[in-house]
Amino acid sequence: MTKISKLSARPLMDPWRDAFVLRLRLLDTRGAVIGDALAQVDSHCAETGEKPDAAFGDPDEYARTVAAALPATARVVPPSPWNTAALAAGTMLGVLGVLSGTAALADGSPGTLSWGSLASLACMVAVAATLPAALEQLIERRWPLTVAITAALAVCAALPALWRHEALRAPGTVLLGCGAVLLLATWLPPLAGRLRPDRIVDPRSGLEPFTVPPWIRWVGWLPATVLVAAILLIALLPTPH
Amino acid sequence: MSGTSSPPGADVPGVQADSEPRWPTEWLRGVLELCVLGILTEGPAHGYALAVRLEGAGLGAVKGGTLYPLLTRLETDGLVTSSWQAGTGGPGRKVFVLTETGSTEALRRTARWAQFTERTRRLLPVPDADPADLCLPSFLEQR
Repeated sequence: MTKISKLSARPLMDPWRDAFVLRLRLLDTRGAVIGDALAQVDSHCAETGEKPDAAFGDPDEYARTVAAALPATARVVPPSPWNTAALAAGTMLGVLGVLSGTAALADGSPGTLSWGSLASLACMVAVAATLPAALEQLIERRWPLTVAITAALAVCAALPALWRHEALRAPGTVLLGCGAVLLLATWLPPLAGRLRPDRIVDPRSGLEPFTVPPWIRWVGWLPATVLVAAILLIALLPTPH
Repeated sequence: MSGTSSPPGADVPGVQADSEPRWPTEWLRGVLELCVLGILTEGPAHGYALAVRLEGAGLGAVKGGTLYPLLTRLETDGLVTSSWQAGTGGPGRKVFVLTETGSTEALRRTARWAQFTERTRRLLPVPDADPADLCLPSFLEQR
């Protein structure tokens, strides 16, 4: 069985079905189409009494065979690396502006951005833009790539402290305003419709064929929650002098 | 036939090892799609029924991993459509129906296949075996 079948210690369904679904996802197959293929596996196994691996072989190989037989309409168009980079850049620059602006207003002094912060931001944008394309590799070679990404993020975190030269100085309100506008401009269009979840649905029941842990549904709110918490902390805690 | 690398009886992926007769992979690859189209000319069928019918016709037990991608391909090509029907006392079944294009294509391919096998047979020595053991798919024999 393939490495991706061992992805989760606690499978959502069973290792074979999880691996099958994951591979179809990685091949950009639509959720409804995955649900249909999965229902077909379930239906066949129920009729024959066979196990999925006996009837369909390796989940990874079978998913590739299914995906190759599907029409182009069964696939979602993956975002281009440029779109991902733009989204990451808008988000990170916006967050940087909002946090620097808030800190400046709390401190009563002009806000500044260092070259280190901007270099760190560029580095993080590069990592974020690479991630979707490297997702498959990340799953199959988890440890080497996790170490590489962690190292890249550590460099990102260290850059502002290592390179403190001032790159930009502006009033706190300007930084805060620009950051907020950038965040809204970056996230309003996707939130207005482009980020609808492509759920896997069993065509027989209209329901998801597995139970998603409740905490997963809240993960999407985590970045916004962390940002608000950071703003509150900066605004409310006394600034050290 | 002289170019065939694996003799009848060789292991064929997607076909149960203990089924008889076992056919070389390349033979099945060429004829399986046509056989499925042929069975569907008789009426709608779900995947398991198709597998049972193929096995009953002597083609061996076709695995789900071989049959369903083939059906998906036929659907992608517009030769069949499918819909889920509620099962009685079990999970629903996906039923496949031949489209008008599929019916035309089944007849066209059947005629071509008949032509092909006839020409192939002209090149081959007459086997000692009973012609009934040649195991042509039943729907081809009916036409």
